[in-house]
Amino acid sequence: MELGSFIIKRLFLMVLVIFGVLIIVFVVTRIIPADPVGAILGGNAPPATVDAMRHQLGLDKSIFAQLLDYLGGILRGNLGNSLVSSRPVMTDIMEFLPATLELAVSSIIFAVVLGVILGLLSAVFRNRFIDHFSRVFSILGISLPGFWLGLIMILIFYYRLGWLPNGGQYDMFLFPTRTTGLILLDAVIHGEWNVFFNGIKHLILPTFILGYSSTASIARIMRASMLDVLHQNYIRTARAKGLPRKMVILRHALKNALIPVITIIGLEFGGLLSGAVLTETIFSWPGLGRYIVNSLLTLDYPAISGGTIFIALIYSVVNLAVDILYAAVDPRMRS
Amino acid sequence: MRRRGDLLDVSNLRVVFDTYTGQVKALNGVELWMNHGERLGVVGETGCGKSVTALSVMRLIEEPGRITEGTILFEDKDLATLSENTLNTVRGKDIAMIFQEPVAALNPVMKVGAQIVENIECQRKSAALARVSDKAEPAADDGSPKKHGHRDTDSVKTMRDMLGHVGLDWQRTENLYPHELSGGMAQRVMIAMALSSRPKLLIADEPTSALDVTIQAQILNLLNSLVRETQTAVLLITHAMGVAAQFCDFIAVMYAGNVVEYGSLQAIFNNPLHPYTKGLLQAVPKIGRTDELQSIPGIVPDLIDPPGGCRFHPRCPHRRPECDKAQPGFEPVGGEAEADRHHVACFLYQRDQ
Repeated sequence: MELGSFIIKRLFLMVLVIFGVLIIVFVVTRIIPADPVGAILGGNAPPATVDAMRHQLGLDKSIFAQLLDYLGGILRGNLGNSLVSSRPVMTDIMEFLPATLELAVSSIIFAVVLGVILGLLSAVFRNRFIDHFSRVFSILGISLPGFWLGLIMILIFYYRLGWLPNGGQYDMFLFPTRTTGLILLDAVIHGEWNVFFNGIKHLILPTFILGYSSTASIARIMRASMLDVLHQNYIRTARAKGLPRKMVILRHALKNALIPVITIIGLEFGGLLSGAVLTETIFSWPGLGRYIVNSLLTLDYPAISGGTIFIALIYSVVNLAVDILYAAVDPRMRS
Repeated sequence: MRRRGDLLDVSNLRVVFDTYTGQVKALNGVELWMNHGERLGVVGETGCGKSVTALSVMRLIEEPGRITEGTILFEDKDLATLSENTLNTVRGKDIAMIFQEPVAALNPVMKVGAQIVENIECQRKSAALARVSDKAEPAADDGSPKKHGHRDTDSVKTMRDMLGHVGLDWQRTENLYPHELSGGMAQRVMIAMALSSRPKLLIADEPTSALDVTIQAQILNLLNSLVRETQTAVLLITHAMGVAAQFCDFIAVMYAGNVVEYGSLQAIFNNPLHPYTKGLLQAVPKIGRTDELQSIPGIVPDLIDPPGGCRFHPRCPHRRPECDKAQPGFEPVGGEAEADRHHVACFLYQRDQ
């Protein structure tokens, strides 16, 4: 049906977006005033060695041929080798990506569930205690910087109370079996429940810190959207049918109110990925954000561009999913 | 007070809206009544409280509006004081409603067939509950269909029959979403939904005002034949005197939150008494009419700070000294047939004045 052709159209658009990102990353890495050869060999290498290295990296070819090489390499899954560790960037990313995915996904789930519930209660019990609470909570979430809150949380829950660990993905003395790279999923697959619960404990603070501001924006959008929907004519129709208030809210209002919220979930996910850089640093989380920060500090260009491409890819996939969800919820979007 | 209509008897209904700029006294003691199977037209200009009256009868007035006084007797219940849960066994089942903007009145993310089925199942459920226990209040989450979509075959059959009755092909219509319907089709769907539970009273709040003129006539004719078949009483809210004259047995003329005149169609059109009714009828254009159209001088009053006494007195060509001092009572007109029920709220006709 129409949903199918909608998805195909969006997939095509996504390929275009990714292509655009690749071109931008390529151009940026070529115009930056730093010479990768110099970065590898140092400033005092003899000219012959420099030329050999230029040839080896393909930098003596025309810019167009370089672009084709670059795109061809990416299609084959080759992002080049790290200038620092000489390992393939792809291997590095595959090692760090799962931790970031785990953190981002748990944060977005946390943000959506809590944000939607708070926004809904806020609108339904407008100007009552829960509304005031949720609004203060939201303002704090949007205005408090995550790194500061993260440190305060560590101070309270690790240093003072000792309830939660201060960082890392799991305790050092654990040696989880890895299959997918996602710690929690692997723990479930292999039945390592001590690892699972240990992982959950490590996930709580970073999830809260990373997801808090998204929770706040989602709660605010949800509240406004729900208040708007509750004044729509079709809600009056639903009430005129004699439906109990709970059913009017859950069946008629909720789905309509979620439509604007779905749109911002995609945007918030982008925010989460960039926010992950700070959160991962504070909580020593072995993820892509920290990898990119380290690469930036060592001018490791293949690693930076590889990481950028992956983040763009995740962002596009999430937004594609959001658009599909959008069309599935709102029939008006399909036509 | 004596009971006036065996289906609906609204008396002294007062509704206010608390706003930042002040309290809007929207309804100022509305009086109207009707028997089973009758059609009552409520007419008046924009902002006179017609729609508020309609919504109040179903207690659908939303914050910041509230009913402050009055009774809404529907058969043996006072809807003004019923609990929300008991009210939900009346809404949709005994009283159904259709609205001015039919497309906006349908849920945009639900197929229209499912919306009709939901109504049918909701009414079956509350009817079943009412049989089980007349006294016990239904639990908060009851009175609602548990099943989604088209699973209950009985309800689906009723839904398809109803779509047929309103002149729509169910095979083409039931899976459409509201945005895929024209205004006329959407109003047909609303009528199918409202009548699917065989209500005793249908409240139609300007059901044709938002539609094309050609469609208006179709919808009115459809409504007319359907309610005639089922002997459903209709409370029709309209600003068009012509529509009311075509459709109704009785007319209630509203001005600034009051019913100023009430009576049979003949009484109102042949013997209008209230100066406002007279003015209103003089402002109706007619083919063949040669005299100049008269408008009523002045504007509708601000209901935050309405004129004292009779709210029409500042615009009234026949005002008398007492008109701005007290609100005139709503009293029967002498010397006319009882069946005309002719009542007027004007000092000009009060026998003891």
